[in-house]
Amino acid sequence: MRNVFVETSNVTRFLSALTALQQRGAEEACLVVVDGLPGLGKTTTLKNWVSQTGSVYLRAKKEWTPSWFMNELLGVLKVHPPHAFQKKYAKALEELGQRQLSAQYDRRTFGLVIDEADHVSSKSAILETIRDISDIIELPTILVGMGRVNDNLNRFPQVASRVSQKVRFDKATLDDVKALVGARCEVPVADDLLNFVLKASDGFNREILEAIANIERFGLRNEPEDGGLTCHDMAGQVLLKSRVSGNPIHVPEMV
Amino acid sequence: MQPGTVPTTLLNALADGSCRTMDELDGCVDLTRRQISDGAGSLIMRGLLERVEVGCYRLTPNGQQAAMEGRIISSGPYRPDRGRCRAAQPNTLRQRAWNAMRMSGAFTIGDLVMAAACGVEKDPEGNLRRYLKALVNAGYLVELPVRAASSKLTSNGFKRFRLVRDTGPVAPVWRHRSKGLFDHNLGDSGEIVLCP
Repeated sequence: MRNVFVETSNVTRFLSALTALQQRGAEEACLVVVDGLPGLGKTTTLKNWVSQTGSVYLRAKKEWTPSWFMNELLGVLKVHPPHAFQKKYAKALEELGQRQLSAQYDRRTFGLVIDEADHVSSKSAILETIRDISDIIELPTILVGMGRVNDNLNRFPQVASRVSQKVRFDKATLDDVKALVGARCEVPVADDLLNFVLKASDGFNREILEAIANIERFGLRNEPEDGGLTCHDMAGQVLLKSRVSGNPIHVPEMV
Repeated sequence: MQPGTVPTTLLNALADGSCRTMDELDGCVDLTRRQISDGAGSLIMRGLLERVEVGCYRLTPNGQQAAMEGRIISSGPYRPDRGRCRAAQPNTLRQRAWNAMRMSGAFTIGDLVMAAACGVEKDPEGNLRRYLKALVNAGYLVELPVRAASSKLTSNGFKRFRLVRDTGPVAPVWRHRSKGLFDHNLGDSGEIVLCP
């Protein structure tokens, strides 16, 4: 499989939301919520964005407290955490502010990404701390969740009102599957098999990648004819495992 | 004239601790008035000289001790670089790959290329392979015993790595001449970590 990051429609929407965030009217509204079911490429997209921009990435834990959150943030920033919470807070603001300034000089976007934000989206203490940090230094903060973040945030209007952009990661379309397979698969694939990949994977990127690995494994051993590997060529082969039942899905002779 | 010669000459000329004017110094050292002024500025920045009044200089106690020890003033930095006002780090492939390593658990070179490459690099896999080798030798990364599977028939799979020494946000830089990695995150102004 080729090591290429593919810009699917979800990625394009995410990048557009960040561009829109920079042109926001209210300076304090710098929260972005990225939501979607597991396996739609949220974490991959965010990891790519964080690597490219040098932003700060944190993965929320179920038992996070404000103090634990702050310690982890300072740990990622490589600052020795002081004992008192107010000192930790001041230190985090100072460090994040410096990094943001440095990124601005370099004409880069800089932000704080909190993955698995469902764990903290119902904890007011942590949300308020995040809101304070984001407000004071106008730091774009991206909360990444699996469908519950938006609903949970509605309980905290002072936080929800600062959400400037909401990005929903949807299931892949046929164009997305074509883009993914075209860029990453080392074997050409015909349209009928692409359609079956979309149907069998139900549009989940994780399953599409599994299908690409199996198609490639087969295609490298049995060179396809012009026009790419078809369903007929791969008939009876395992394409991927069903997310619902866990059973293998075989490629039929005809779709 | 070697860098640092001017302040060292001035330090020696004022070694007796007396207060001397520009005219007196101009007469006793082989320097121009501009050089004396610049050299005095350099010593003042280091806390070795004080300006009693305009055009009149005297060594501080630290300066007198430095003169007694015969210290040579070099042209290098006079205080530790604590990275407070540092310019932004260059946005290189290795820096972006280091960012990706810091937030990943286990990763292959392919994972890093996917996260860090931006399409203009000539051979990102080769570049990161050499970089990761240096990081493994210096003890920043460990190679995991189980490889990631490949879809190719005779392939041994891909090596997987884990970051075990996350020293900070700035990627260690490979220095060919010293055969080591220079880590900006360590010490006051970075340290060399040798790759055995």
